[in-house]
Amino acid sequence: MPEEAGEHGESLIHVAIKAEKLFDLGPIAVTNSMVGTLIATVVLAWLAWWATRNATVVPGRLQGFLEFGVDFMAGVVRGQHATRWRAILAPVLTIFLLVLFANYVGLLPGVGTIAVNVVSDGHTTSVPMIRPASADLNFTLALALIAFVLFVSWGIRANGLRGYLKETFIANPPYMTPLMTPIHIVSELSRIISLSMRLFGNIFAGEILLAVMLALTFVVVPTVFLGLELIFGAVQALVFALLTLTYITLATAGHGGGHDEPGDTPHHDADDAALGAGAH
Amino acid sequence: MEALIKAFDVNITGLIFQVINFLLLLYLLNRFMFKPLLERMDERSTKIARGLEDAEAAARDRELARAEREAALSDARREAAEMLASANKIAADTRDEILAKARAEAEGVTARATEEIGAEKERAMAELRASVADLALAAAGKVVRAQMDGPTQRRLVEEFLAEAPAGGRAGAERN
Repeated sequence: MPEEAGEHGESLIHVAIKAEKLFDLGPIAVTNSMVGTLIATVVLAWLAWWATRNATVVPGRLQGFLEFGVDFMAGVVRGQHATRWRAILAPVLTIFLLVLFANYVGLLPGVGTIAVNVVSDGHTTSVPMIRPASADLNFTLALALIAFVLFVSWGIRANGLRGYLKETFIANPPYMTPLMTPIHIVSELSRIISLSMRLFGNIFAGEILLAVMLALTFVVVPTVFLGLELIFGAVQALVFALLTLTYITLATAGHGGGHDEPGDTPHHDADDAALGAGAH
Repeated sequence: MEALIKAFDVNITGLIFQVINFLLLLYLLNRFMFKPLLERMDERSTKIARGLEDAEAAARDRELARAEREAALSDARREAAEMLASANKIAADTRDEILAKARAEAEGVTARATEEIGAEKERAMAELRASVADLALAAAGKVVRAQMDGPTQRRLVEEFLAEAPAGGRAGAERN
């Protein structure tokens, strides 16, 4: 009996902390999270094309809805970067939309529940065909690395390479350098970890929660958690995008040299925002 | 760290796949969504701004047109009044002229008639004088036929008649 129960439980709740390989495509091991990523990407790209293929000056409902979203994010970016907001808007908005859709892939029926049999190392295992991309650290880490590259490159673009290096490696006042510089470097690098782990943890936990609820309860209870996951998915996408924007703002504002005062205020604001989002 | 990477199965293939996927999506969304939408939104704001400007200009034009129309109307009214006054004046003048002409003509006709009447009277008078002389001669001849010869008698009668006034009544009374 205990063995049976164990087997039964395993087949009901499939928990894997990492994405699982489905098949090999040449040198690439295609995982179920890649499938999730591709679904999110294709749906998003198709929606973008379909909703704006007849974009008119007088918008229809769908165009109006998309414009509302784009305009909202554009307003946030414009508030921080009055002159270069268009160049910053595209990656920030892409991050938001991709994360949002990647999170929502996990809520589609069949995702995580429809399994295929995969033969690896001689024995067959049952693997979910689709895994939401955000529940794979490769996805969140890649996005965090992209965000890192974005805010470092914007920092260099805004302050020059010398200015950026000086700001990063020399503290103000200079005699504090031995103490402050390692902290600064760690804090910069920790952003990669915090960004990727926050998103991964939230969505992975959400997936497990849904799976557990499906296994333990009736139809109505998982629905409540599905609704909650809808909210969490949007919040996490927004947090990821806004933190990326905040880091870009921090990097471009600068907090040394001639433009001390204008740089100071956004720096503190952004820090507060980062703390607030981190608390979530 | 290695254990962590192994546990989460972080691998370079997966990372590169996700990065490429993101860059591709960035391009697609930028090309098909952000650019067209932002362009339309910009277009819309310029259009609305222009529309508002146009509306203002139209209101200004309308006000101008109204003033012009009123000016034209008052001009026309004044002109009409002027025309009416001048027409009245012309009519009065013409009437006076026609009346004067008619009066003059009537006077002319009257004068001519009077003249003709005078001439006729004169002629009648002369004829009367001649026939009265003949009648007087005949009567006198009958009375004094034997005593007087013709030429002397006739001279006397003619002298008498010449002395008689033009009216003829004195001559008649003398006879």
